[in-house]
Amino acid sequence: MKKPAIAVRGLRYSYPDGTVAVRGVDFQLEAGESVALLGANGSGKTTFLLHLAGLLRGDGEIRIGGVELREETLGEIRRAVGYVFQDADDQLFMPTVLEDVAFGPLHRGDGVEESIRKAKEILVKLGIGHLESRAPYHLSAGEKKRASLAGVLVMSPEVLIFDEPTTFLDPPGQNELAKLLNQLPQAKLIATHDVYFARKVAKRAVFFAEGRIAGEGPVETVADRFHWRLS
Amino acid sequence: MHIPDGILSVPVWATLNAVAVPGIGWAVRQAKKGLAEGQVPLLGVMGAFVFAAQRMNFPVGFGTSGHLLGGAMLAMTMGPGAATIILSSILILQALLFQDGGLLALGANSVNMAIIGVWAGWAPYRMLASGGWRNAGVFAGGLLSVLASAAAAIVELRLSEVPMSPAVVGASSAVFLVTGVMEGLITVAVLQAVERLNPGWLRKPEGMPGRAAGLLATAALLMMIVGVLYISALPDGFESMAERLGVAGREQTVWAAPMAEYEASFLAGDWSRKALAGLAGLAVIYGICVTVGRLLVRQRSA
Amino acid sequence: MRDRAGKSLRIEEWARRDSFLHRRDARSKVLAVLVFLVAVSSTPPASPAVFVPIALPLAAGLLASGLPLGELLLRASIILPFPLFFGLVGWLENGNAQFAGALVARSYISALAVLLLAGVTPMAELFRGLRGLGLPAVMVMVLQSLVRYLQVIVDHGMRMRRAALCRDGGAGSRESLWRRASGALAVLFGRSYARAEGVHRAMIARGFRGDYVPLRPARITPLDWVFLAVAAMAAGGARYLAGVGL
Repeated sequence: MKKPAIAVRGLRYSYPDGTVAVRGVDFQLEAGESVALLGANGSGKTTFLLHLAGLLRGDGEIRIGGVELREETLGEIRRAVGYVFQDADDQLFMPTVLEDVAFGPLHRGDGVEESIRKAKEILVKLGIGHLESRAPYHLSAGEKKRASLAGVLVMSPEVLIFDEPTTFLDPPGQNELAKLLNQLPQAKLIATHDVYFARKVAKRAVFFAEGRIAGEGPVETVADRFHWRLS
Repeated sequence: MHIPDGILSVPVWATLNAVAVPGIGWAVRQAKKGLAEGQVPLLGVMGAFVFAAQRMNFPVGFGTSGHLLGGAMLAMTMGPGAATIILSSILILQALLFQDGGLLALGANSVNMAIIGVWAGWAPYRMLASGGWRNAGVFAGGLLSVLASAAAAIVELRLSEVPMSPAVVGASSAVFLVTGVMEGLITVAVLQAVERLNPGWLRKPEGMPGRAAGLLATAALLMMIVGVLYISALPDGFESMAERLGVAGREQTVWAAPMAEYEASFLAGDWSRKALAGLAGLAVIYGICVTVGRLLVRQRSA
Repeated sequence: MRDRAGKSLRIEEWARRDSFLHRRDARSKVLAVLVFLVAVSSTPPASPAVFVPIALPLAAGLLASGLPLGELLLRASIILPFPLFFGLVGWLENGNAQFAGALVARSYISALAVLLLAGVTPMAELFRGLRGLGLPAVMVMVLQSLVRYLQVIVDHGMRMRRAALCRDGGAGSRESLWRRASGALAVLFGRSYARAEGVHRAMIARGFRGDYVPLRPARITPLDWVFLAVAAMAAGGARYLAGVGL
């Protein structure tokens, strides 16, 4: 039996000003599984996700692919976790798409030639090879999302985390993204407001409320139970 | 106030490049101490903020408006070292992309705005803010930052033998004074608004003299700048100043004379020697750049 | 000032084109321009005619770049007020019109050379080239994020201004306008902070640990060396002609 991609036990976190954001979360994501994370704005979804890449440190235990997240394993964990941020402008910080995608491998120590080769390969794979010398600012929202994903996939992560990936995307863009996600073999945790999108990319859903997991189950059931639909 | 290429004489721009490089290198080290775990992108984004801020108009009256220049404000929020890096990056970008200021004149413009402007903006704030005259310190910072940059630019132009009658120096000083007062007022307004949002964004000046000493030092700084502007306005400028005063401000002969001689030997020489000397100067500056860069890297990895 | 963003877009578009100059290594281009600038700067501003031979290598470069000549000439003219002012002062003071013309020519030619450099070299390559020439990695990183977020932050400021105008059409006493402008700048300052935090977080998530590893530029080819040598000789030759008064 393969180790779970993500295993979280008793995670708690309060911001420096004392606001409690995550109050005791237990969560498991199996290898190869896709789970949607639903919940209101401010319910602690993003705070929770940031913990999984060690970008915030709270109390409790986090294991990624069986490896416990500690100061010593931080590098290893961040390599295993691919984090696609909500705002692609935060994520694409280099002057050109190619340099951005090569940033991860380069800072892992892959060397210049190898980093560029990998970056080009992944860009072609995602169908945006023609954008490699473009500046991120001039890309469309869909292209930005793809480029962000390329920068993450180039590190061959074992787990993918998406924070509101459909923000700024038009319906065709959302469809394309869903199709792309379903082709990826990694375990995925996808925070989203969009139940339709969630249904397309995940079977199971977890509902976050006030820093806790308030319920989980099949996407439809969870959406019904928490009245998480447009009416 | 961005000096383009082709205005300053070879010795002037070469000297200022040679001053700017270690100056900025030192700022890089200063800033690194103050930034949390290599938060370098913040400096770049703040540079973008300054660009954006310069588009926000503040009405002055009479149908005109002014905008923030930002040197003093950056020093008071990001710290002077970081402010120097941000402003010199802006200057590099402006020179390359917007033809705002020259490439050989980059050293001069950096010294004027990113080094002198920043520290002249920081000093009054640091001295007065802890003495309980915060807003006075902020205002003086904005004002002195503009005046000091302007005075430095005028001195450089004079040393380059750019024609400047006393009337011109006087008139530009008046313009700079108005700009400086504007900068002071805007800096006060913006800093108050920033503090309302998050007091943590302001640098806390600590361990400095009280109000009287702070005021005295700020006044001294102001006098110094006015003095430099006044000397620049004299028809014969710096060379005859020493003779005219008899006693000769010693510091002045120390820094003005070698430069004047340097220039004289330049003028006497033929064109090839001049061009070669310029190139040699460039090579020396380049060498300093690379060495400072290497040293910085080595220090960091050590 | 206002249409700067548009200007930078135009130059980025130029830099993406192709020509012999576009294909040269950024380092060789930077060095060539520096040599040229030194040649120009060391020419005494005796008369505008002195700068005719100096301008020849530059003219060759402009033609080789394939960029729209008229636009280049026009754009470089934004620096004219500065030398015109001091040239005029000199003229009025000593009646030396030759000097005024020479000062204008000297700084206009210099600005045009830098503009040509930016027009045939994409910013990203230029920064990598500067890194290759010894600019500290920290400065490269700052420059890159400055360019990257320039439009993002400026756009944000513009949107805020538009929203404020929609609310009240920009009316109000001077005091309230001041309060609003400074408030808006403070908010923009905060947004910039937040943006930088987001960027920093994304960098850390992708393995950044405080030491920036910039991409090195590709190897300098023999052709780049030849280009640099020819450019330097042309600048030197032009400087010689200017010196002997041709």
